Amino acid sequence: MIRILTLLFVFMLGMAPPPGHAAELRIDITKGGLNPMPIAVPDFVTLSGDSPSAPTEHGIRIAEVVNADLERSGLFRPLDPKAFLQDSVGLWKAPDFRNWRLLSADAVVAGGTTLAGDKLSVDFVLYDVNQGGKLGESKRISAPTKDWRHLAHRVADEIYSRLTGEGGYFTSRIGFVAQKNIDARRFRKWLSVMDQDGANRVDLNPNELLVLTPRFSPNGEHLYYLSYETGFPRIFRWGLYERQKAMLTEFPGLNACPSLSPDGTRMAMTLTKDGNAEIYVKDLRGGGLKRLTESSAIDTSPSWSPDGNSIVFTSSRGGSPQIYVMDANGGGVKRLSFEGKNNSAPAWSPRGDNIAYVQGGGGKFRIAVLNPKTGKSRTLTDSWMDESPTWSPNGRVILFSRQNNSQTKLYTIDLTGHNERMAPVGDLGGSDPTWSPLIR
Amino acid sequence: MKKQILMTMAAMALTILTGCSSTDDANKKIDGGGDPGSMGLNGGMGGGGQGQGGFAPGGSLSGGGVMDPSANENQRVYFDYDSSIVRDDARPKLMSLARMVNKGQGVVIEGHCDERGTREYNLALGQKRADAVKDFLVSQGVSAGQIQTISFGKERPLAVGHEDGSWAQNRRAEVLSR
Repeated sequence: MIRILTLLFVFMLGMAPPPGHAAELRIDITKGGLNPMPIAVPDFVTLSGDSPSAPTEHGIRIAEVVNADLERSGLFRPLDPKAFLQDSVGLWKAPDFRNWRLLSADAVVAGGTTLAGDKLSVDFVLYDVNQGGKLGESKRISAPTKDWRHLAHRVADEIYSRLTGEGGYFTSRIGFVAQKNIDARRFRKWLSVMDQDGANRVDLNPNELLVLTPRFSPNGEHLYYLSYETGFPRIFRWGLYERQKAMLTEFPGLNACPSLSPDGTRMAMTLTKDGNAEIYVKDLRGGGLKRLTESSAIDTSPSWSPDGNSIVFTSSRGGSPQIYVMDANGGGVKRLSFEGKNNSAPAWSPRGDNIAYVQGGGGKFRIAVLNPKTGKSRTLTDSWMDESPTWSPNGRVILFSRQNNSQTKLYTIDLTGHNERMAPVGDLGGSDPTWSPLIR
Repeated sequence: MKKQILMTMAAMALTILTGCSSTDDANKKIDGGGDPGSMGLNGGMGGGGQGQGGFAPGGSLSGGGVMDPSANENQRVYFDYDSSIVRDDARPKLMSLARMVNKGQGVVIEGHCDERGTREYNLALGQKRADAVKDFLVSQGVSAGQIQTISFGKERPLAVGHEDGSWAQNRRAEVLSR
């Protein structure tokens, strides 16, 4: 339990640094500074018969997905099943905590699957090994069998949430721009969506030639994006369930950077119809268009605060691109970033306490976070061209794209600057990621 | 390739000298690309099937990526880093282009950026470059109503390198017939 508390403490440290700490600008590249919690998630037993029996296909694959989710978060260290001293059936009936303590497991998960027609149910219990008791109640969840991965992600979310005190993010999806070369000199870019772990990737509207900057709607059902399919950059909406698109804007010049208000009723965007890149808000319920910014410099990249009251954006009105914030009606403009000569592409965390952005300097473009209240920033990555930060639904992990020479891939990094990983997109290039809310 | 550009420039000069105001000539300029002998705003060497000589929105969008550097050098102007100010060395080129545009002819100006900086910012910067070139052409007598602008941000580099030389080539605007 002490370790669990330690983990909780470290977690909270990452979320909300106490005043006086993490104040100075620094590059936090000491990956692996966290001490991940050892956890055992053996294969789930089969519960379809009269008594629990040995794990079958679903029980084995679900445990695999749960272990992979927990491991990738960087907060857990799943133990090697080869070392287990108690089998899944024994664990399901009565955990032998002495055996799990011998492996130095802090937590162990006992699970079972029940297949009934095309419905799959999963039961699971989380144990605190050192206390020798349950951590929370046992739980049953069900879904159509084809959605077995979703069930596994829900189990992982629940474990993560119980052991960290924060919401999970494993039942979310990632939208991004997939890229493939047509030949050595040309490429095609189209929209793609996949689970947060890279599984179940689906290409949307694969005849697209050039699309950019997709953003999920707050309910996760639509992607708003820029497409050149008319020959000009225009904003479109793709319905993930209805599987069709609609063109939303057709103003002269650039129509770019769609960003939905948290209640989904308004779209902020960049238009140049009045002579220069300015930020506008369109009421999607059939209302009008309101111009929010007015400067002869570039204003772009709007991102809403989670309460919908403010918009953070990039502006070069001070002579170089910097991060500014304004009220959602355009008033009360305030500059937030002061260090460096090139700060842009802000993304407000769903928790509200951080803004991720791209920090240029020294010939590099890195992912950084800044606190909108104090203006203090921390640099998280150290590569040549990182951009397009987007947040996990719990505000813990930042997903971004990284260009290495001509190859662009997706990466994730923990808010603390630890646990940098590549997000799998196969042999495709991937850029412009957007992270969905939780899918239920 | 150098030879091609020189020939193109010679052809352009000829076009400018001869005034080129007949309807037939204007038509030639608009279809561009296919006819090796064509000149004017379609520029380049026509390309005869290289697909880069003339410009049509569809042609330009046949896959993103690198544009053919051998075409249209006379229709490109370059910019300083993070700047949309028309440079002095671009003015004579744009003045020649302005003289070549016929009444009623559609013109598309593309704005492009180098790969440094974010996608979102570069889209806005590319638009600012296209608009700066548009303003310049309008100041030279081209009607604003003839001109459309497109920003490609950093999506269409001309050079594939990741150093100053390539970046300088990629920070550009292209003036194309529609």
